Amino acid sequence: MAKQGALFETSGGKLLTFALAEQEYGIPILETREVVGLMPIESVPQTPPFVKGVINLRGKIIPVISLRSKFNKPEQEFCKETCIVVVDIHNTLTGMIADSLSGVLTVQVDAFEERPQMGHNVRTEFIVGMVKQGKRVIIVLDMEKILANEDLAFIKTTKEEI
Amino acid sequence: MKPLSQPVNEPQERLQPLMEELSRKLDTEQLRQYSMPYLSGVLCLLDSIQAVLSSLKFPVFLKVIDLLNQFMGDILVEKMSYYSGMSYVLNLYELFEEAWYSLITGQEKFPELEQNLLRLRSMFNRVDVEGIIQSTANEEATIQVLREDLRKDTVLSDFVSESLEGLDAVEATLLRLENNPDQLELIQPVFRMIHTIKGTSGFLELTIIGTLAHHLEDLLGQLRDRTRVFTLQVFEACLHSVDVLKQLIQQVSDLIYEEPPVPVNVKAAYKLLSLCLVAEKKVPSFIPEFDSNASAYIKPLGAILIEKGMVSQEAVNEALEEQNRPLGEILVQKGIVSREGMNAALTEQSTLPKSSGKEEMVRVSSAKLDELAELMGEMVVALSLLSQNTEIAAVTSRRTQTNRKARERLEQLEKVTEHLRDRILGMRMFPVGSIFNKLSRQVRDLAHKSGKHVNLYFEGEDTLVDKTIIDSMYSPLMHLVRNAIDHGLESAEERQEQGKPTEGNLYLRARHQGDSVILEIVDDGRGLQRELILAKAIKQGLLRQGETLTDQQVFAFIFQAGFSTASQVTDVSGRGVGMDVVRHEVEKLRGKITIESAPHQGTTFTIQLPLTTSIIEGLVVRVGDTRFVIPMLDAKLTHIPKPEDLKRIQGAEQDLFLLAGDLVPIIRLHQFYALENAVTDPAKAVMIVVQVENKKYGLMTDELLQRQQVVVKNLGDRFAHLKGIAGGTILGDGRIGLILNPREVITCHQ
Repeated sequence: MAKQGALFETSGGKLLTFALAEQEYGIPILETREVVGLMPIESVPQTPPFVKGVINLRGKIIPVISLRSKFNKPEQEFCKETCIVVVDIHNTLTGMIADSLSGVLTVQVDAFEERPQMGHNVRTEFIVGMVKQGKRVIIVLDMEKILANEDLAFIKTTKEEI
Repeated sequence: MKPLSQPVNEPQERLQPLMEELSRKLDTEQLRQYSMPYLSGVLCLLDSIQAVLSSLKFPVFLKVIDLLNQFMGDILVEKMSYYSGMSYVLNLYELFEEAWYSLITGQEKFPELEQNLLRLRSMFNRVDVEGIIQSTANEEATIQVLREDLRKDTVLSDFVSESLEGLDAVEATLLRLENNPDQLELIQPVFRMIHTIKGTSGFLELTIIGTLAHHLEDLLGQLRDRTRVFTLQVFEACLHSVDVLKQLIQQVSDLIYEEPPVPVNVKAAYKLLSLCLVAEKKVPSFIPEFDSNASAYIKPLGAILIEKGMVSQEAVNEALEEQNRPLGEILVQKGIVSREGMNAALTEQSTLPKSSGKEEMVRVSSAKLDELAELMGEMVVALSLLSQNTEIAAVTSRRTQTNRKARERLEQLEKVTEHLRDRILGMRMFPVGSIFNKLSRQVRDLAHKSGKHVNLYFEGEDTLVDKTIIDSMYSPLMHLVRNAIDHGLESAEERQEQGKPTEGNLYLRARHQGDSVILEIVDDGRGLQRELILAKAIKQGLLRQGETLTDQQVFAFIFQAGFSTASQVTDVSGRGVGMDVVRHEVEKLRGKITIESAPHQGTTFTIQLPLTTSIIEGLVVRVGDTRFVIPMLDAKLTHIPKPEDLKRIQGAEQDLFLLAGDLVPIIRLHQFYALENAVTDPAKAVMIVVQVENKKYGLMTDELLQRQQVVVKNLGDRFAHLKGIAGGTILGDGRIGLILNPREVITCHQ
């Protein structure tokens, strides 16, 4: 519910939409900081597979994650449309690799559906809900959950390894 | 209706208009404007009321008016701050009003009035202290209440920060005074600070703080006027009151920022103060000569007069024996000094520099300073890369005569940048002395507790260090100091047996050395006991029997968590949880801590810290596709081992190589970090030799790229778990380098 609020009340129903593995996703616009073209990603040792590394964003070092990896989709080569979407959650910046950018979309409340109960390719706790726009179906992501979960998961796995 | 003991109708008629007018005058609006006509108006009304009441035989009312007059008088001669004084006046007047009106409606409420009178008088008066202890209810868990409209006002937070700072200075001065009780002029700034706190807290309606400050001020006043002599009890009372004031002010700060306030126990402070205030006053049997060179504080009036030749020392002494009046007044009255002469002296006193080194200050948020420092760091790095750039270097090279101008411009830029960097980094620097002063209080308390006499010496208090160092080093230093006093220094008897002076000596030293700051804690106690430490280490399985270690290596064991050779655990130390934290804090600042000790002679802890935390000089190396930066502080040398120098010892985990007679273990960074495309043959690698706890290790890398100053950037929480990586940085070509923490790498490797 709160996340819905973030989408409609704070961001005014505006979503930044991008494509990844033939599926469109959206993030409330106020959670995104900027989008940059693909730049060299420096890999960092001892990090989980979905943490691709870090980039130099005008002097700031920012981690970059791969949603493909996070969502267990097959990896793909980067192409010229590939970009990095930088999100700002609680004043921490993180970059996400996207296959291509679709644009900014304004959605109406009635086009929004809460997350479905049934199984989906994507684990449902990362989804705020879905939006229908004509023939397009856009999955609205809960970035906070996506970026938070992994730390716990990673710490858990490293503990098991030790 | 009970018949009144006296007829009141007629006096009532006369009183009614007077009281109404006084009520109006004491209305809050008018109260807030301090003006002489206003105050004299109030006084006149009080006089008239007194005249009417004197015809009656109600002694309690006369007492009330009397006390009101006393309050007003004190406000006028500024013995009491305006706002707190007027609040007393208002309070008392309301009580009087209530009692009077009850009286004319047939109820005599004299006992209550008497009691309130007693309470007010005692809250105020120097002598009746039982009343204080009874009247301040609910001490054990005092939580103050802030005026809502003031909460967000900067005046309140300014008060908090200025008072806390001032109280730190007060504490330091009190400690100095304790050791030098003849330097009475030290009381002046202490008195002034407490007086200011009393006044401002009254204005801000922080009555609990105000009342405590008031009573402390009274005690200080007596000390200043020499009607009371310094005893240990007096010092305890003062120091404890300062502690409680700090706690109360901290509570105000918590309340402002809506954090859970910690209840403060005020009762104990009052008890201590009251014990002093009711004890017999002792007047010193001699009055010390004024030494006009002794103080950096306000010159005593007497000293100025003596200097000007207007009075003799004896006359001043005699005048001082007369208490309760300002010295100047007494001398003028006795005709010893003329009024003009006195005025001249007073002018001189007020124009003298009031205290040493108080500069104009501007408050800047530390976030802004951090940002500034970071930008500065970037600029330094950008500039150094610019001058290293091959094309620019070709143009500005000393060899080409034609480009002298270009070179000069570049050098000018470098010089200015360097100055700018120093100034900006300097903005965050403060003298180490502030930690030292706080520690001296701990030393004093601890020494008393353990029954040892400790002499504390400071050296280099003016040494400037970065604020982060001051903030993080306080706890570790305190721990080391506690250890020194608790375990290092022996009891007086033991010391005597060994022919040492019975007083233990503790030295705290600070100095700059190159681009580091060195802190030393030295004691002349019993020293670390090598055998005990070895035994404990073997027992804890940290060491195999028969291994030979240098003294340094043995002493380093005390930094292990849970390690303690203390046979008794005091509540202060000995639990073995402190030293590892000390080392951790030092290393967090990228510093080093080393120990030297000799039996019966003492122990020295030396902490070396880099002056700035944000820029470090390092070696940029490549391992596979990753760039690492190894801090110069740790790197000793680089070496490419010859194939014949590579050894593998039976049973040893690591390869080793021979370097100037030492066998140096190899740490394979590519293995440690699971990096691909790296060099795996040590004979083809570049070894960066680092030294950790007197042991050398070789970090195996593919290539040494360059030596560079880099700006340290925090990688963030996401990477906090990384072992051996202290941060990141942006290298000259825009790529990112990972800053290594060699010690952590080595520790994890084992």
